Amino acid sequence: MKTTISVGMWSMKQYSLKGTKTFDEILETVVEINPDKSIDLMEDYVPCHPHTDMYEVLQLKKRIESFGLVINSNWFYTDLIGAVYVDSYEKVVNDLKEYIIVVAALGAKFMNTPLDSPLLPGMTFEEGYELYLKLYEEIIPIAEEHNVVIGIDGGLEGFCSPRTALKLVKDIGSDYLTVTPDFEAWRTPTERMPGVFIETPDIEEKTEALPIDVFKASLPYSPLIHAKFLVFDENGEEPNFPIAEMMAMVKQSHREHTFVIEYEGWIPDINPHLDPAVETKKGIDLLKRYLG
Amino acid sequence: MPVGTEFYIKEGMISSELKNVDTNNDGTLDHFYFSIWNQKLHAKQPLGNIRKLSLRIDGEEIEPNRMYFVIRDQWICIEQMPTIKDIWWMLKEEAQIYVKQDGGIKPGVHNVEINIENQVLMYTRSIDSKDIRPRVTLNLQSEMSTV
Repeated sequence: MKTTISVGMWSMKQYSLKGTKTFDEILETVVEINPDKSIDLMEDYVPCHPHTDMYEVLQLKKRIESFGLVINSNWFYTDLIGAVYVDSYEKVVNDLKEYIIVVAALGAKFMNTPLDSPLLPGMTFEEGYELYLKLYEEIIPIAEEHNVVIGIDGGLEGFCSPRTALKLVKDIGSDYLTVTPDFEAWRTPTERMPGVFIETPDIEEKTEALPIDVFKASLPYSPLIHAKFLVFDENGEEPNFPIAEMMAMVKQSHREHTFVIEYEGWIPDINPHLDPAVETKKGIDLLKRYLG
Repeated sequence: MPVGTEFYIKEGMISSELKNVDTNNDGTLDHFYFSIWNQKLHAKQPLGNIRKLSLRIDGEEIEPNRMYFVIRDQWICIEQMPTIKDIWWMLKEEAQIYVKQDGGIKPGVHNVEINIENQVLMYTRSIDSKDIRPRVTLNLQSEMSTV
């Protein structure tokens, strides 16, 4: 079992939104707190919209590497069902192909496409699933050509769960399509932090965690794992997730895994007054403590 | 996928000043404006991602055809903003909301209330033109001084 830790820029985003650190200062912070010198870059920080500026993409890569950091993965918002419905299948395929090329230009291994696509009214699971199959089958050859591994991040309920991601990956059977299990799926909602999500207010409120067996079943297909953290207690533990159980499973895994730390406690609903870097470091320490 | 109910960091999202301006340099004030910064958790989005924007000044609703969202010197009438796909509001980027008003706004302190309805169709390049996903609403209020 070999593991690497990468820091998701999501963990640091409060600095950008409040203007308390520049991008370079955030990179310096990541260098200080992450001994593995790896980051996950979300699209907010990538010059790919509305049209990709390839020169700026390459400059960004150089800039990040100048800090001694490696871009391990990228993350794009992908409500594929919604986008196909309001635009077109062809447009979405073209966007995804472009994203793959951007990821390759940044030198990253992985592109994450979250399964944040609640089914449309009247749409069956099978219809949504068929659409996803078709989309991924069409973009995988581009991923292979550019040596970018696609991860499907499932962390919500129903169609958006890791179960769906795992089924897609198994059905397609390509090394270039993988599951990115998100700790969120195994969080037990509490009164302090209920199972509601601002970006999917229409889906059923989550009331319980997904069975841990789904995490175990995902591991052979999961080079990348999203390690979401919300709060840490005085012992540096994260009580919202079954960390000990999950890490015991990872230690038994036969493949290499990279954990992307997604510290989310900085959002207005949780602990916006805490320093995201200090808390993110607690997440890194926690994983290293369990994984040895 | 962030947990919780807040889609924005509200603190510091709008300025505390209303500025009168003479936009056509004819010697007469014709608009006033204030600044707004993009502090959405999912920040970088086309302007059309904002499905509706409304503004009240001292309790009076401002007609949409008098309001403009101004970004990088581009003026977009609020009424047309939901159609804009190729002009993007970037992370933490400053924009201004202009209101057309002959003579500008009177000196003093004014109560400014802004409501923004944002789409939650989380596919960054698509505008939810068919309203297939619910919206999230941001309400910001501030006492602004005229300068």
